[in-house]
Amino acid sequence: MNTIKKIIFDFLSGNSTSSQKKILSECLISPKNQILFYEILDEWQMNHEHINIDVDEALQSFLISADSSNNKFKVIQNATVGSNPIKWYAIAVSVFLVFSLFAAFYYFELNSTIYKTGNAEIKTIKLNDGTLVTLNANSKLTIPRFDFSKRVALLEGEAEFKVRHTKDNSHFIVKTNNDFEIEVLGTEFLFYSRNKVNRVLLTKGKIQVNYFSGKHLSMKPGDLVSLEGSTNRIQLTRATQTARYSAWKSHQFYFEGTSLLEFSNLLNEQFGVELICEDSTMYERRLMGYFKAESSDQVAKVLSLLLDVPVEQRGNFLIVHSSKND
Amino acid sequence: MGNLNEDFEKSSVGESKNIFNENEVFIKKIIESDYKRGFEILFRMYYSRLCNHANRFVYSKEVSEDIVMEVFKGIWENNLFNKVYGPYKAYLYRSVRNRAITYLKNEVCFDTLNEIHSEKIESHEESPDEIMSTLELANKIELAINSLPFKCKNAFLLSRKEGKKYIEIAEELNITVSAVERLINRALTKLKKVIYFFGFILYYLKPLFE
Repeated sequence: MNTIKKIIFDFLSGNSTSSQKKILSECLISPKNQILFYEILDEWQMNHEHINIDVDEALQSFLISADSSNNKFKVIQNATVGSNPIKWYAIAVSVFLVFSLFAAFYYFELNSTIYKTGNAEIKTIKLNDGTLVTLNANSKLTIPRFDFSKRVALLEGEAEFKVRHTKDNSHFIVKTNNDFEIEVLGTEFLFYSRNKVNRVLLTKGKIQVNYFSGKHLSMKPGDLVSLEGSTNRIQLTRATQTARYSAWKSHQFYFEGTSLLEFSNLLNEQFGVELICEDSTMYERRLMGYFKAESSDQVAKVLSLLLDVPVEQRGNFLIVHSSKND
Repeated sequence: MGNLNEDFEKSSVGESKNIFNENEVFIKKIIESDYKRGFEILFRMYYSRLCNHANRFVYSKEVSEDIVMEVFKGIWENNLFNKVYGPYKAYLYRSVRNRAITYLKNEVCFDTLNEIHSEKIESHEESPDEIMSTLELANKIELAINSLPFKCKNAFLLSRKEGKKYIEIAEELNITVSAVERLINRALTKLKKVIYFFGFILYYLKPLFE
Protein backbone atom coordinates (compact mmCIF):
# COMPACT_ATOMS: atom_id res chain seq x y z
CA MET A 1 0.00 0.00 0.00
CA ASN A 2 1.46 3.37 -0.88
CA THR A 3 1.92 6.02 1.77
CA ILE A 4 -0.91 8.27 0.80
CA LYS A 5 -3.40 5.43 0.77
CA LYS A 6 -2.26 4.42 4.22
CA ILE A 7 -2.60 7.97 5.51
CA ILE A 8 -6.13 8.23 4.16
CA PHE A 9 -7.12 4.81 5.48
CA ASP A 10 -5.74 5.76 8.91
CA PHE A 11 -7.57 9.03 8.78
CA LEU A 12 -10.88 7.38 7.93
CA SER A 13 -10.44 4.88 10.73
CA GLY A 14 -9.66 7.70 13.15
CA ASN A 15 -6.06 6.65 13.74
CA SER A 16 -4.10 9.51 12.23
CA THR A 17 -1.87 11.96 14.04
CA SER A 18 -2.30 15.69 13.75
CA SER A 19 0.78 15.98 11.55
CA GLN A 20 -0.63 13.41 9.17
CA LYS A 21 -3.86 15.37 9.06
CA LYS A 22 -1.96 18.50 8.24
CA ILE A 23 -0.21 16.77 5.35
CA LEU A 24 -3.47 15.38 4.04
CA SER A 25 -5.14 18.73 4.29
CA GLU A 26 -2.41 20.32 2.21
CA CYS A 27 -2.60 17.62 -0.42
CA LEU A 28 -6.34 18.05 -0.71
CA ILE A 29 -6.01 21.60 -1.99
CA SER A 30 -5.47 20.23 -5.49
CA PRO A 31 -8.79 19.21 -7.12
CA LYS A 32 -7.04 16.30 -8.83
CA ASN A 33 -5.97 14.96 -5.47
CA GLN A 34 -9.49 15.35 -4.17
CA ILE A 35 -10.69 13.02 -6.91
CA LEU A 36 -8.09 10.47 -5.91
CA PHE A 37 -9.11 10.96 -2.31
CA TYR A 38 -12.67 9.95 -3.14
CA GLU A 39 -11.33 6.98 -5.05
CA ILE A 40 -9.52 5.80 -1.92
CA LEU A 41 -12.45 6.70 0.31
CA ASP A 42 -14.64 4.50 -1.88
CA GLU A 43 -12.19 1.62 -1.55
CA TRP A 44 -12.13 2.03 2.21
CA GLN A 45 -15.91 2.22 2.39
CA MET A 46 -16.21 -0.94 0.32
CA ASN A 47 -14.25 -2.80 3.00
CA HIS A 48 -16.22 -1.26 5.84
CA GLU A 49 -19.79 -2.21 5.15
CA HIS A 50 -21.60 -2.64 8.43
CA ILE A 51 -25.21 -2.47 7.44
CA ASN A 52 -26.83 -4.82 4.98
CA ILE A 53 -28.65 -3.11 2.17
CA ASP A 54 -31.02 -4.69 -0.32
CA VAL A 55 -30.03 -2.86 -3.48
CA ASP A 56 -32.54 -4.57 -5.76
CA GLU A 57 -35.44 -3.66 -3.56
CA ALA A 58 -34.19 -0.08 -3.23
CA LEU A 59 -33.83 0.30 -6.98
CA GLN A 60 -37.33 -1.07 -7.54
CA SER A 61 -38.92 1.30 -5.08
CA PHE A 62 -36.87 4.14 -6.48
CA LEU A 63 -38.03 3.53 -10.04
CA ILE A 64 -41.65 3.31 -8.92
CA SER A 65 -41.50 6.54 -6.96
CA ALA A 66 -39.59 8.27 -9.77
CA ASP A 67 -42.40 7.39 -12.18
CA SER A 68 -45.16 8.58 -9.91
CA SER A 69 -43.34 11.74 -8.88
CA ASN A 70 -43.00 12.70 -12.52
CA ASN A 71 -46.78 12.79 -12.80
CA LYS A 72 -47.24 14.46 -9.46
CA PHE A 73 -44.72 17.09 -10.36
CA LYS A 74 -46.63 18.21 -13.43
CA VAL A 75 -49.94 18.50 -11.60
CA ILE A 76 -48.44 20.42 -8.69
CA GLN A 77 -46.74 22.80 -11.06
CA ASN A 78 -50.09 23.67 -12.52
CA ALA A 79 -51.77 23.86 -9.15
CA THR A 80 -49.41 26.40 -7.64
CA VAL A 81 -50.58 29.07 -10.04
CA GLY A 82 -54.22 28.25 -9.39
CA SER A 83 -55.53 31.72 -8.43
CA ASN A 84 -56.11 32.63 -12.04
CA PRO A 85 -59.38 31.17 -13.46
CA ILE A 86 -57.73 30.33 -16.77
CA LYS A 87 -55.12 28.34 -14.89
CA TRP A 88 -57.86 26.38 -13.14
CA TYR A 89 -59.12 25.51 -16.53
CA ALA A 90 -55.61 24.35 -17.39
CA ILE A 91 -55.54 22.12 -14.33
CA ALA A 92 -58.90 20.59 -15.23
CA VAL A 93 -57.66 19.87 -18.72
CA SER A 94 -54.37 18.42 -17.51
CA VAL A 95 -56.09 16.24 -14.91
CA PHE A 96 -58.51 15.09 -17.58
CA LEU A 97 -55.61 14.35 -19.89
CA VAL A 98 -53.77 12.37 -17.25
CA PHE A 99 -56.89 10.35 -16.52
CA SER A 100 -57.70 9.71 -20.13
CA LEU A 101 -54.11 8.67 -20.66
CA PHE A 102 -54.42 6.16 -17.85
CA ALA A 103 -57.78 5.02 -19.17
CA ALA A 104 -56.39 4.54 -22.64
CA PHE A 105 -53.44 2.69 -21.20
CA TYR A 106 -55.62 0.29 -19.22
CA TYR A 107 -58.00 -0.14 -22.10
CA PHE A 108 -55.09 -1.11 -24.29
CA GLU A 109 -53.57 -3.41 -21.65
CA LEU A 110 -56.86 -5.16 -20.87
CA ASN A 111 -57.82 -5.62 -24.46
CA SER A 112 -54.61 -7.16 -25.60
CA THR A 113 -52.67 -10.30 -24.97
CA ILE A 114 -49.10 -9.73 -23.89
CA TYR A 115 -46.26 -12.19 -24.28
CA LYS A 116 -43.08 -11.36 -22.44
CA THR A 117 -39.68 -13.01 -22.02
CA GLY A 118 -37.14 -12.44 -19.27
CA ASN A 119 -33.37 -12.80 -19.14
CA ALA A 120 -31.99 -15.60 -21.29
CA GLU A 121 -35.52 -16.78 -22.10
CA ILE A 122 -36.55 -17.73 -25.63
CA LYS A 123 -40.18 -18.53 -26.28
CA THR A 124 -42.16 -19.64 -29.33
CA ILE A 125 -45.79 -18.56 -29.53
CA LYS A 126 -48.49 -19.72 -31.89
CA LEU A 127 -51.03 -16.99 -32.59
CA ASN A 128 -54.71 -17.64 -33.34
CA ASP A 129 -54.20 -17.35 -37.09
CA GLY A 130 -51.44 -19.94 -37.07
CA THR A 131 -48.56 -17.46 -37.21
CA LEU A 132 -45.48 -18.56 -35.32
CA VAL A 133 -43.46 -16.01 -33.36
CA THR A 134 -40.18 -16.81 -31.61
CA LEU A 135 -39.38 -14.16 -29.01
CA ASN A 136 -35.79 -13.52 -27.97
CA ALA A 137 -34.85 -12.68 -24.36
CA ASN A 138 -36.18 -9.48 -22.75
CA SER A 139 -38.76 -8.91 -25.44
CA LYS A 140 -42.45 -8.13 -25.44
CA LEU A 141 -45.15 -8.84 -28.00
CA THR A 142 -48.58 -7.25 -27.65
CA ILE A 143 -51.54 -8.58 -29.63
CA PRO A 144 -54.85 -6.65 -29.52
CA ARG A 145 -57.50 -9.13 -28.42
CA PHE A 146 -60.64 -7.84 -30.08
CA ASP A 147 -59.34 -6.63 -33.38
CA PHE A 148 -60.54 -9.21 -35.92
CA SER A 149 -60.41 -7.10 -39.03
CA LYS A 150 -56.64 -6.74 -39.10
CA ARG A 151 -53.81 -8.82 -37.79
CA VAL A 152 -51.65 -6.46 -35.75
CA ALA A 153 -48.82 -7.02 -33.28
CA LEU A 154 -46.61 -4.62 -31.35
CA LEU A 155 -43.00 -5.69 -30.83
CA GLU A 156 -40.52 -4.38 -28.30
CA GLY A 157 -37.32 -6.38 -28.56
CA GLU A 158 -36.33 -9.07 -31.00
CA ALA A 159 -38.31 -11.86 -32.66
CA GLU A 160 -38.65 -14.14 -35.62
CA PHE A 161 -42.00 -14.17 -37.41
CA LYS A 162 -43.37 -16.97 -39.57
CA VAL A 163 -46.56 -15.37 -40.80
CA ARG A 164 -49.33 -17.65 -42.04
CA HIS A 165 -51.03 -16.64 -45.29
CA THR A 166 -54.80 -16.53 -44.73
CA LYS A 167 -57.54 -17.24 -47.26
CA ASP A 168 -58.90 -13.71 -47.19
CA ASN A 169 -55.44 -12.28 -47.94
CA SER A 170 -55.54 -10.13 -44.80
CA HIS A 171 -52.34 -8.26 -44.03
CA PHE A 172 -50.26 -8.86 -40.93
CA ILE A 173 -48.72 -5.73 -39.45
CA VAL A 174 -45.89 -5.60 -36.93
CA LYS A 175 -45.57 -2.22 -35.26
CA THR A 176 -42.81 -0.80 -33.09
CA ASN A 177 -42.71 2.06 -30.64
CA ASN A 178 -40.96 4.10 -33.31
CA ASP A 179 -42.40 5.25 -36.59
CA PHE A 180 -41.50 1.96 -38.24
CA GLU A 181 -43.68 -1.01 -39.13
CA ILE A 182 -43.79 -4.10 -41.32
CA GLU A 183 -46.72 -5.13 -43.46
CA VAL A 184 -46.94 -8.67 -44.86
CA LEU A 185 -49.18 -11.32 -46.31
CA GLY A 186 -47.30 -14.46 -45.47
CA THR A 187 -43.53 -14.67 -45.02
CA GLU A 188 -40.70 -15.29 -42.65
CA PHE A 189 -38.55 -12.53 -41.23
CA LEU A 190 -36.40 -11.55 -38.27
CA PHE A 191 -37.24 -8.31 -36.54
CA TYR A 192 -35.09 -6.41 -34.06
CA SER A 193 -36.42 -3.30 -32.32
CA ARG A 194 -34.61 -2.07 -29.22
CA ASN A 195 -33.43 1.36 -28.09
CA LYS A 196 -34.63 3.14 -31.23
CA VAL A 197 -32.72 0.73 -33.44
CA ASN A 198 -34.88 -1.24 -35.88
CA ARG A 199 -33.60 -4.01 -38.09
CA VAL A 200 -35.46 -6.41 -40.34
CA LEU A 201 -34.05 -9.34 -42.22
CA LEU A 202 -36.37 -11.02 -44.69
CA THR A 203 -35.75 -14.72 -45.15
CA LYS A 204 -38.75 -15.73 -47.26
CA GLY A 205 -41.53 -14.05 -49.31
CA LYS A 206 -42.05 -10.33 -49.65
CA ILE A 207 -42.77 -7.57 -47.19
CA GLN A 208 -43.34 -3.87 -47.10
CA VAL A 209 -41.74 -1.55 -44.58
CA ASN A 210 -43.71 1.55 -43.58
CA TYR A 211 -41.75 4.33 -41.93
CA PHE A 212 -41.66 8.08 -41.30
CA SER A 213 -45.49 8.20 -41.47
CA GLY A 214 -46.19 7.36 -45.06
CA LYS A 215 -42.95 6.24 -46.70
CA HIS A 216 -42.74 2.71 -48.01
CA LEU A 217 -40.07 0.26 -49.00
CA SER A 218 -40.32 -3.22 -50.50
CA MET A 219 -38.02 -6.01 -49.41
CA LYS A 220 -36.86 -9.17 -51.17
CA PRO A 221 -35.51 -12.28 -49.38
CA GLY A 222 -32.00 -11.66 -48.11
CA ASP A 223 -32.57 -7.92 -47.79
CA LEU A 224 -31.63 -6.23 -44.56
CA VAL A 225 -33.29 -2.94 -43.65
CA SER A 226 -32.16 -0.93 -40.68
CA LEU A 227 -33.21 2.34 -39.12
CA GLU A 228 -31.09 3.82 -36.37
CA GLY A 229 -32.56 6.43 -34.08
CA SER A 230 -29.26 8.25 -33.79
CA THR A 231 -28.85 8.94 -37.51
CA ASN A 232 -32.53 8.61 -38.41
CA ARG A 233 -31.61 7.21 -41.82
CA ILE A 234 -33.01 4.10 -43.39
CA GLN A 235 -30.63 1.67 -45.03
CA LEU A 236 -31.22 -1.27 -47.31
CA THR A 237 -28.39 -3.77 -47.79
CA ARG A 238 -27.94 -7.38 -48.80
CA ALA A 239 -27.22 -9.49 -45.73
CA THR A 240 -24.06 -11.52 -46.19
CA GLN A 241 -24.36 -13.98 -43.33
CA THR A 242 -28.01 -14.51 -42.55
CA ALA A 243 -27.19 -17.11 -39.91
CA ARG A 244 -25.76 -14.32 -37.78
CA TYR A 245 -29.15 -12.70 -37.32
CA SER A 246 -30.93 -15.85 -36.24
CA ALA A 247 -28.09 -17.15 -34.06
CA TRP A 248 -29.96 -16.11 -30.94
CA LYS A 249 -32.61 -18.73 -31.61
CA SER A 250 -30.13 -21.43 -30.66
CA HIS A 251 -28.49 -19.32 -27.93
CA GLN A 252 -25.50 -18.60 -30.12
CA PHE A 253 -23.41 -15.49 -30.44
CA TYR A 254 -21.78 -14.54 -33.73
CA PHE A 255 -18.81 -12.22 -33.92
CA GLU A 256 -17.11 -10.58 -36.86
CA GLY A 257 -14.63 -8.33 -35.13
CA THR A 258 -17.28 -7.23 -32.66
CA SER A 259 -15.80 -5.05 -29.92
CA LEU A 260 -16.34 -5.93 -26.29
CA LEU A 261 -18.25 -2.67 -25.90
CA GLU A 262 -20.75 -3.72 -28.58
CA PHE A 263 -20.94 -7.15 -27.03
CA SER A 264 -21.78 -5.60 -23.66
CA ASN A 265 -24.97 -4.15 -25.16
CA LEU A 266 -25.90 -7.57 -26.48
CA LEU A 267 -25.27 -9.11 -23.05
CA ASN A 268 -27.50 -6.54 -21.46
CA GLU A 269 -30.33 -7.30 -23.87
CA GLN A 270 -29.93 -11.03 -23.57
CA PHE A 271 -29.16 -11.67 -19.92
CA GLY A 272 -29.72 -8.33 -18.21
CA VAL A 273 -26.12 -8.19 -17.00
CA GLU A 274 -23.59 -5.42 -17.33
CA LEU A 275 -20.07 -6.06 -18.47
CA ILE A 276 -17.49 -4.10 -16.54
CA CYS A 277 -13.83 -4.17 -17.49
CA GLU A 278 -11.30 -3.22 -14.87
CA ASP A 279 -9.00 -2.12 -17.65
CA SER A 280 -10.87 0.19 -20.00
CA THR A 281 -8.66 -0.66 -22.98
CA MET A 282 -10.34 -4.08 -22.84
CA TYR A 283 -13.51 -2.60 -24.31
CA GLU A 284 -11.64 -2.15 -27.58
CA ARG A 285 -10.76 -5.86 -27.78
CA ARG A 286 -12.45 -7.51 -30.75
CA LEU A 287 -14.04 -10.93 -30.87
CA MET A 288 -14.18 -13.36 -33.79
CA GLY A 289 -16.08 -16.56 -34.37
CA TYR A 290 -19.10 -17.84 -32.51
CA PHE A 291 -20.01 -19.59 -29.31
CA LYS A 292 -23.05 -20.88 -27.55
CA ALA A 293 -24.12 -19.68 -24.13
CA GLU A 294 -27.45 -20.15 -22.40
CA SER A 295 -26.61 -18.20 -19.26
CA SER A 296 -24.36 -15.35 -18.26
CA ASP A 297 -22.29 -17.87 -16.30
CA GLN A 298 -21.39 -19.61 -19.51
CA VAL A 299 -20.58 -16.29 -21.14
CA ALA A 300 -18.18 -15.57 -18.30
CA LYS A 301 -16.39 -18.87 -18.89
CA VAL A 302 -16.11 -18.37 -22.65
CA LEU A 303 -14.97 -14.77 -22.32
CA SER A 304 -12.35 -15.77 -19.83
CA LEU A 305 -10.99 -18.31 -22.34
CA LEU A 306 -11.15 -15.92 -25.28
CA LEU A 307 -9.56 -12.97 -23.53
CA ASP A 308 -7.25 -14.99 -21.33
CA VAL A 309 -8.15 -13.07 -18.18
CA PRO A 310 -10.34 -14.02 -15.21
CA VAL A 311 -14.01 -13.11 -15.69
CA GLU A 312 -16.26 -13.24 -12.69
CA GLN A 313 -20.01 -12.88 -12.24
CA ARG A 314 -21.05 -10.71 -9.30
CA GLY A 315 -24.79 -10.19 -9.09
CA ASN A 316 -25.81 -8.36 -12.21
CA PHE A 317 -22.27 -7.61 -13.24
CA LEU A 318 -19.73 -9.55 -15.24
CA ILE A 319 -16.38 -8.27 -14.10
CA VAL A 320 -13.50 -8.64 -16.54
CA HIS A 321 -10.37 -8.47 -14.43
CA SER A 322 -7.18 -7.11 -15.86
CA SER A 323 -4.59 -9.83 -16.29
CA LYS A 324 -1.83 -8.00 -14.48
CA ASN A 325 -3.60 -8.47 -11.15
CA ASP A 326 -3.27 -12.21 -11.28
CA MET B 1 5.56 16.50 2.39
CA GLY B 2 6.84 17.13 -1.09
CA ASN B 3 7.16 13.38 -1.31
CA LEU B 4 3.55 12.86 -0.55
CA ASN B 5 2.39 15.28 -3.13
CA GLU B 6 4.46 13.32 -5.60
CA ASP B 7 2.81 10.18 -4.32
CA PHE B 8 -0.55 11.67 -5.01
CA GLU B 9 0.52 12.72 -8.45
CA LYS B 10 1.99 9.34 -9.18
CA SER B 11 -1.10 7.43 -8.15
CA SER B 12 -3.41 9.72 -10.03
CA VAL B 13 -1.34 10.04 -13.16
CA GLY B 14 0.78 6.94 -13.30
CA GLU B 15 -1.51 4.14 -12.24
CA SER B 16 -4.79 5.06 -13.79
CA LYS B 17 -3.58 7.45 -16.50
CA ASN B 18 -6.87 9.22 -16.36
CA ILE B 19 -8.43 11.08 -13.49
CA PHE B 20 -11.64 9.27 -14.27
CA ASN B 21 -11.85 5.76 -13.01
CA GLU B 22 -11.92 3.33 -15.92
CA ASN B 23 -15.35 2.04 -15.11
CA GLU B 24 -16.60 5.58 -15.10
CA VAL B 25 -15.46 6.09 -18.67
CA PHE B 26 -17.53 3.11 -19.65
CA ILE B 27 -20.53 4.25 -17.66
CA LYS B 28 -20.24 7.71 -19.15
CA LYS B 29 -20.56 6.13 -22.59
CA ILE B 30 -23.69 4.31 -21.52
CA ILE B 31 -25.19 7.41 -19.92
CA GLU B 32 -24.73 9.31 -23.14
CA SER B 33 -26.59 6.70 -25.16
CA ASP B 34 -29.11 5.40 -22.61
CA TYR B 35 -29.51 7.56 -19.53
CA LYS B 36 -31.80 5.24 -17.60
CA ARG B 37 -29.55 2.23 -18.00
CA GLY B 38 -26.47 4.18 -16.96
CA PHE B 39 -28.34 5.56 -13.99
CA GLU B 40 -29.30 2.06 -12.91
CA ILE B 41 -25.71 0.85 -13.15
CA LEU B 42 -24.49 3.69 -10.97
CA PHE B 43 -27.32 3.07 -8.53
CA ARG B 44 -26.47 -0.62 -8.28
CA MET B 45 -22.77 0.04 -7.96
CA TYR B 46 -22.81 2.70 -5.30
CA TYR B 47 -26.09 2.48 -3.40
CA SER B 48 -24.95 0.09 -0.68
CA ARG B 49 -21.58 1.79 -0.18
CA LEU B 50 -23.19 5.22 -0.01
CA CYS B 51 -25.73 4.01 2.55
CA ASN B 52 -22.87 2.73 4.65
CA HIS B 53 -21.11 6.04 4.28
CA ALA B 54 -24.18 7.99 5.37
CA ASN B 55 -24.59 5.57 8.24
CA ARG B 56 -21.29 6.71 9.68
CA PHE B 57 -22.93 10.05 10.35
CA VAL B 58 -26.56 9.38 11.07
CA TYR B 59 -26.35 5.92 12.64
CA SER B 60 -29.67 4.74 11.37
CA LYS B 61 -30.18 2.34 8.53
CA GLU B 62 -33.49 3.92 7.59
CA VAL B 63 -32.25 7.49 7.58
CA SER B 64 -29.12 6.49 5.67
CA GLU B 65 -31.20 4.92 2.95
CA ASP B 66 -33.49 7.95 2.86
CA ILE B 67 -30.52 10.24 2.42
CA VAL B 68 -29.02 8.23 -0.41
CA MET B 69 -32.43 7.90 -2.06
CA GLU B 70 -32.86 11.67 -1.91
CA VAL B 71 -29.52 12.20 -3.56
CA PHE B 72 -30.38 9.79 -6.38
CA LYS B 73 -33.81 11.34 -6.72
CA GLY B 74 -32.31 14.80 -7.13
CA ILE B 75 -29.97 13.43 -9.77
CA TRP B 76 -32.80 11.69 -11.59
CA GLU B 77 -35.15 14.66 -11.60
CA ASN B 78 -32.54 17.13 -12.74
CA ASN B 79 -30.69 14.84 -15.13
CA LEU B 80 -27.56 15.59 -13.17
CA PHE B 81 -25.45 12.70 -14.45
CA ASN B 82 -25.44 14.49 -17.78
CA LYS B 83 -24.22 17.68 -16.17
CA VAL B 84 -21.75 16.49 -13.55
CA TYR B 85 -18.23 17.47 -14.32
CA GLY B 86 -15.70 15.01 -12.93
CA PRO B 87 -16.14 11.50 -11.61
CA TYR B 88 -19.59 10.38 -10.51
CA LYS B 89 -18.01 8.71 -7.52
CA ALA B 90 -16.71 11.93 -5.96
CA TYR B 91 -19.96 13.69 -6.72
CA LEU B 92 -22.05 10.97 -5.08
CA TYR B 93 -19.95 10.73 -1.93
CA ARG B 94 -19.86 14.49 -1.59
CA SER B 95 -23.62 14.85 -2.00
CA VAL B 96 -24.40 12.07 0.43
CA ARG B 97 -22.05 13.49 3.03
CA ASN B 98 -23.49 16.99 2.68
CA ARG B 99 -26.99 15.69 3.06
CA ALA B 100 -26.04 13.64 6.10
CA ILE B 101 -24.55 16.74 7.71
CA THR B 102 -27.67 18.73 6.89
CA TYR B 103 -29.72 16.02 8.54
CA LEU B 104 -27.56 16.10 11.66
CA LYS B 105 -27.87 19.86 11.78
CA ASN B 106 -31.64 19.70 11.78
CA GLU B 107 -31.68 16.82 14.21
CA VAL B 108 -29.28 18.28 16.71
CA CYS B 109 -30.20 21.88 16.01
CA PHE B 110 -27.01 23.67 15.27
CA ASP B 111 -29.10 26.78 15.04
CA THR B 112 -26.12 28.98 14.48
CA LEU B 113 -24.93 26.89 11.59
CA ASN B 114 -28.28 26.64 9.98
CA GLU B 115 -28.24 30.20 8.80
CA ILE B 116 -24.74 30.09 7.47
CA HIS B 117 -24.62 26.76 5.77
CA SER B 118 -27.23 26.70 3.08
CA GLU B 119 -27.33 23.60 0.91
CA LYS B 120 -24.10 23.30 -0.99
CA ILE B 121 -24.91 20.06 -2.70
CA GLU B 122 -24.39 21.33 -6.22
CA SER B 123 -21.02 22.93 -5.56
CA HIS B 124 -17.99 21.37 -7.21
CA GLU B 125 -15.33 22.85 -5.03
CA GLU B 126 -14.66 21.85 -1.50
CA SER B 127 -12.01 23.12 0.81
CA PRO B 128 -9.74 20.47 2.36
CA ASP B 129 -11.03 21.59 5.74
CA GLU B 130 -14.57 20.94 4.70
CA ILE B 131 -13.78 17.41 3.62
CA MET B 132 -11.63 16.57 6.57
CA SER B 133 -13.60 18.05 9.40
CA THR B 134 -16.86 16.49 8.27
CA LEU B 135 -15.22 13.09 7.97
CA GLU B 136 -13.63 13.60 11.32
CA LEU B 137 -17.07 14.16 12.74
CA ALA B 138 -17.91 10.62 11.66
CA ASN B 139 -14.92 9.34 13.63
CA LYS B 140 -15.95 11.35 16.68
CA ILE B 141 -19.42 9.85 16.51
CA GLU B 142 -18.01 6.36 16.26
CA LEU B 143 -15.72 7.04 19.18
CA ALA B 144 -18.63 8.34 21.25
CA ILE B 145 -20.63 5.22 20.52
CA ASN B 146 -17.75 2.97 21.42
CA SER B 147 -17.36 4.73 24.74
CA LEU B 148 -20.98 4.13 25.72
CA PRO B 149 -21.66 1.63 28.52
CA PHE B 150 -21.87 -1.89 27.14
CA LYS B 151 -25.64 -2.41 27.42
CA CYS B 152 -26.41 1.05 26.17
CA LYS B 153 -24.18 0.61 23.13
CA ASN B 154 -25.63 -2.80 22.39
CA ALA B 155 -29.22 -1.61 22.46
CA PHE B 156 -28.37 1.41 20.37
CA LEU B 157 -26.56 -0.53 17.67
CA LEU B 158 -29.27 -3.17 17.47
CA SER B 159 -31.83 -0.46 16.96
CA ARG B 160 -29.93 1.80 14.61
CA LYS B 161 -27.68 -0.48 12.62
CA GLU B 162 -29.80 -3.54 12.32
CA GLY B 163 -33.08 -1.69 12.33
CA LYS B 164 -34.59 -3.90 15.02
CA LYS B 165 -37.73 -2.96 16.90
CA TYR B 166 -37.65 -2.20 20.64
CA ILE B 167 -39.56 -5.40 21.42
CA GLU B 168 -37.06 -7.50 19.52
CA ILE B 169 -34.16 -5.82 21.30
CA ALA B 170 -35.85 -6.33 24.67
CA GLU B 171 -36.13 -10.03 23.96
CA GLU B 172 -32.59 -10.30 22.74
CA LEU B 173 -31.08 -8.48 25.71
CA ASN B 174 -33.53 -9.97 28.17
CA ILE B 175 -34.78 -6.62 29.52
CA THR B 176 -38.08 -4.72 29.41
CA VAL B 177 -39.12 -2.52 26.50
CA SER B 178 -39.05 0.60 28.64
CA ALA B 179 -35.50 -0.25 29.67
CA VAL B 180 -34.56 -0.45 25.99
CA GLU B 181 -36.14 2.92 25.47
CA ARG B 182 -34.18 4.40 28.31
CA LEU B 183 -30.89 2.94 27.09
CA ILE B 184 -31.37 4.24 23.57
CA ASN B 185 -32.41 7.67 24.80
CA ARG B 186 -29.31 7.84 26.91
CA ALA B 187 -27.19 6.95 23.91
CA LEU B 188 -28.90 9.58 21.79
CA THR B 189 -28.44 12.31 24.39
CA LYS B 190 -24.75 11.52 24.59
CA LEU B 191 -24.42 11.50 20.83
CA LYS B 192 -26.22 14.76 20.40
CA LYS B 193 -23.91 16.34 22.92
CA VAL B 194 -20.88 15.13 21.01
CA ILE B 195 -22.22 16.28 17.69
CA TYR B 196 -23.29 19.60 19.10
CA PHE B 197 -19.99 20.15 20.81
CA PHE B 198 -18.00 19.13 17.78
CA GLY B 199 -20.14 21.25 15.51
CA PHE B 200 -19.65 24.13 17.88
CA ILE B 201 -15.90 23.74 17.78
CA LEU B 202 -15.96 23.40 14.04
CA TYR B 203 -17.93 26.57 13.80
CA TYR B 204 -15.70 28.67 16.01
CA LEU B 205 -12.28 27.23 15.51
CA LYS B 206 -12.36 26.05 11.92
CA PRO B 207 -14.30 27.78 9.21
CA LEU B 208 -16.12 24.59 8.33
CA PHE B 209 -19.17 25.94 6.63
CA GLU B 210 -17.84 28.89 4.75
